[in-house]
Amino acid sequence: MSIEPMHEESVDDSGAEASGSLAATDLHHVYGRGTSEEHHALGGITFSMNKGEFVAIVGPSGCGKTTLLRCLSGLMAPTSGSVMLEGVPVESVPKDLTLVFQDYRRSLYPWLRVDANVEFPLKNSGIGKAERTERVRQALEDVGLSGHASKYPGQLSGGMQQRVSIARALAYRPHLLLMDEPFASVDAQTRASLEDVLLEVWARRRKTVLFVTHDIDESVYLADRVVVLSNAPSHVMAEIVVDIPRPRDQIETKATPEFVELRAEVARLIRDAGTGAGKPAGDS
Amino acid sequence: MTISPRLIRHAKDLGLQIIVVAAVLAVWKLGTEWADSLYFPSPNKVFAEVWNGWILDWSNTWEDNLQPSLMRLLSGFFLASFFAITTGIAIGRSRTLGDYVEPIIHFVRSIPPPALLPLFLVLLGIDDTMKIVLIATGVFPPILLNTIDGVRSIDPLYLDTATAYRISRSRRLTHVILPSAGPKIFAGLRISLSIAVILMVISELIAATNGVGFRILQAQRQFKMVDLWAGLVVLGTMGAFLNGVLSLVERRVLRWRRA
Amino acid sequence: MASASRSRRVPVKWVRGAIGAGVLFVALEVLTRAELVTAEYLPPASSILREVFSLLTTRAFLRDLWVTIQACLIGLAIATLVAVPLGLVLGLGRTAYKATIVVIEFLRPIPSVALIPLAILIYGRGTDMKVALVVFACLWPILFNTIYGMHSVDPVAADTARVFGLGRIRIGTRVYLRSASPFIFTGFKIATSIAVILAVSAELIAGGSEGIGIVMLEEASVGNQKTVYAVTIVTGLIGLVLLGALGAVERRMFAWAQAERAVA
Repeated sequence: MSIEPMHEESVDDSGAEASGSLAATDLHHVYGRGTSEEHHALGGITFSMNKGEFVAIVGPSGCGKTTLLRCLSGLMAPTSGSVMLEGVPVESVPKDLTLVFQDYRRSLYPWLRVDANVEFPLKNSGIGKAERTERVRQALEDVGLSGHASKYPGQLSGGMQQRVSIARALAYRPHLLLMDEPFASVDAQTRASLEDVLLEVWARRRKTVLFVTHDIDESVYLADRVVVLSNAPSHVMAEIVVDIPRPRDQIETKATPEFVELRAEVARLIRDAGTGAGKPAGDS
Repeated sequence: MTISPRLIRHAKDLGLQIIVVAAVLAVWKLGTEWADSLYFPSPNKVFAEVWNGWILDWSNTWEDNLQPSLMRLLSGFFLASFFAITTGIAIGRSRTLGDYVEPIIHFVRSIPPPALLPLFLVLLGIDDTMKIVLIATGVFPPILLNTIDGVRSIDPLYLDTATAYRISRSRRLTHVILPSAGPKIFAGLRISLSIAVILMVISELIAATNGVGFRILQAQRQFKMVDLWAGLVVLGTMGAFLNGVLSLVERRVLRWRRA
Repeated sequence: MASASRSRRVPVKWVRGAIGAGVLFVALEVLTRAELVTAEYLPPASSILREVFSLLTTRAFLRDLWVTIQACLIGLAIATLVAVPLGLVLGLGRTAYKATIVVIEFLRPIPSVALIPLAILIYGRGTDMKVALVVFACLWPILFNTIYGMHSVDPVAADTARVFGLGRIRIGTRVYLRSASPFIFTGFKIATSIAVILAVSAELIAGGSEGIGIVMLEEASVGNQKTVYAVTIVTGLIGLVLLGALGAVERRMFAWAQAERAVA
């Protein structure tokens, strides 16, 4: 194999501005300002993540997780506050970042075949044909879809479609991957297998991943660190370090006392957030 | 292996179609023989005329009737399609622009297309330019309105995805917006094709010296009813053929929809 | 937030629409006043507009207008009276439905306007000829949509009616006709546009003495561009009024069908 992604990322390993590091400072966002339907979604969110880290964001429903992700990715400008990716302010979507959306049905292009969907973003960045083909092949292999390259998304199951959109993100080779409840609309069986596909790929490719979910189990199972948000206007209530060793296993890991303990802690925090008992937790 | 129920259903449908077409022809034949009407010749005579007058004399038929008609129709149709799709995308992408021009578009659309003919007759005379402009103007609004609708109803997530992957403006247009508006655009094209045929016929009935419509008019003036009906059959076949070609193109371009 | 911005949008949209039409008007006016385009091609927009008003207040013109509209209305009425009952019956069975589709597909490629020369021979050049053409052309969309509507009737609704012991005729009117009515109306709307197209076309091709198409041809033949423009605009206004009225009726009468479709 000619391309080894681990090398390309280990080149700029030095300094605080390592590739894939993200810092959000005092993010506020208000929808429909000045109208009767004004909604204060983000109420001063501050957190940061390091290169190669897998961070999960959880919170009660309607707490503005999606808003946060849209602000972090540059799809939307926050009302106030700043986002820095590798030390550079995020104003539009940066080159080294991309998103995986929850609704795979609507984020894959149904008129492009699977391989063309994965290749589509690469054609923009002046990458040669040979390398594009290789990246597509490798990304599809990573998510276990090698045999389905020439199908249309409409011919695949929901779980497979979401794997295609993960493959598309992988082939793009961002330093930072943002995922917005990517597994929320697939069945439980598929979900578990997608989680493991993601962990495996992450272990192999060492991306920095920010994973938004409302599923507590999922956040603890996947992440190095869980950031718990409060109700809207949301702020960071707590950050919980998950020091469960990797590789993790759907059955064994979830049966360990540490896992059970952490899960209960996150659940308590979210419940308190829901009842409004939570207080702002200063970022470390 | 058993025969799939779908195949049986298709076979049944085909059988029904054959029976119905045969029944229509039988009613036509028996009816005309019984009524012995001046205006309704029997199908035998009509199809004999199609064979002798049109097909056996193909080179003249093509040069004097089919080719001029097709040229007018297709020129107007393609001209309008090009401009309607490009402006439709521009208007569909910009609410502001749409707000300014939409009332005008809706007004032009509500003019019955044949009513434009006298005006164009005065402005452009009776030659092919007039016919092409007439056809193009008549088919422009449906394609335009369908394109606008198609572009407006694009899923915002398609665009967010393109933004997340920093897709350039031009590729976003050709690879995201255009294909997603494709089904609506084709719906507009299908409506437009039938309007184009109507306008071609009218313009040839009123101001032409060749074309299929002109041949029908000549038959009427000379009271050759068999020739007139043969002309109608040819015109119908031509319409069906053009529709078939458009459907083929649509199936090819939108094949992902059946996935 | 979306609804808030939309409620503010409505007036903005109207203002912009008016500005767009105004700009077009002024541009056309300037084009001719500055003699960039000769009046032979484009008379001043203001004079065309004045002509529209004067036509709409002239008895003779209104009479011509009515002759054309009358032919459309009679033709539409006959087509509806024939097509709807026929469609209700044909729509009850699958085979009849498919057979009808074949016939319609068979006839559809022949543009109805091509029948005008034949209709002139049979019915002459007067109202009869126009009505016959309008009936023939409007029959198909109404018939097709009625049958289509019959097939969209929820079988559960029909069964429910039967369970409650409603008789055949009452099931027919209460359940089928009511469920199919939005589709029938759609067919009627399509037929209305077709009726106007055919009536005007027939007048243009057949000549004759009365009708809006005749007025246009006569004015065109004496090179009275201003009036030809004005009459063309009047046909657009008629179309706008007709479609607007039908749209309003549809929104009032079939709001329930819209809601159902939005949910599904």
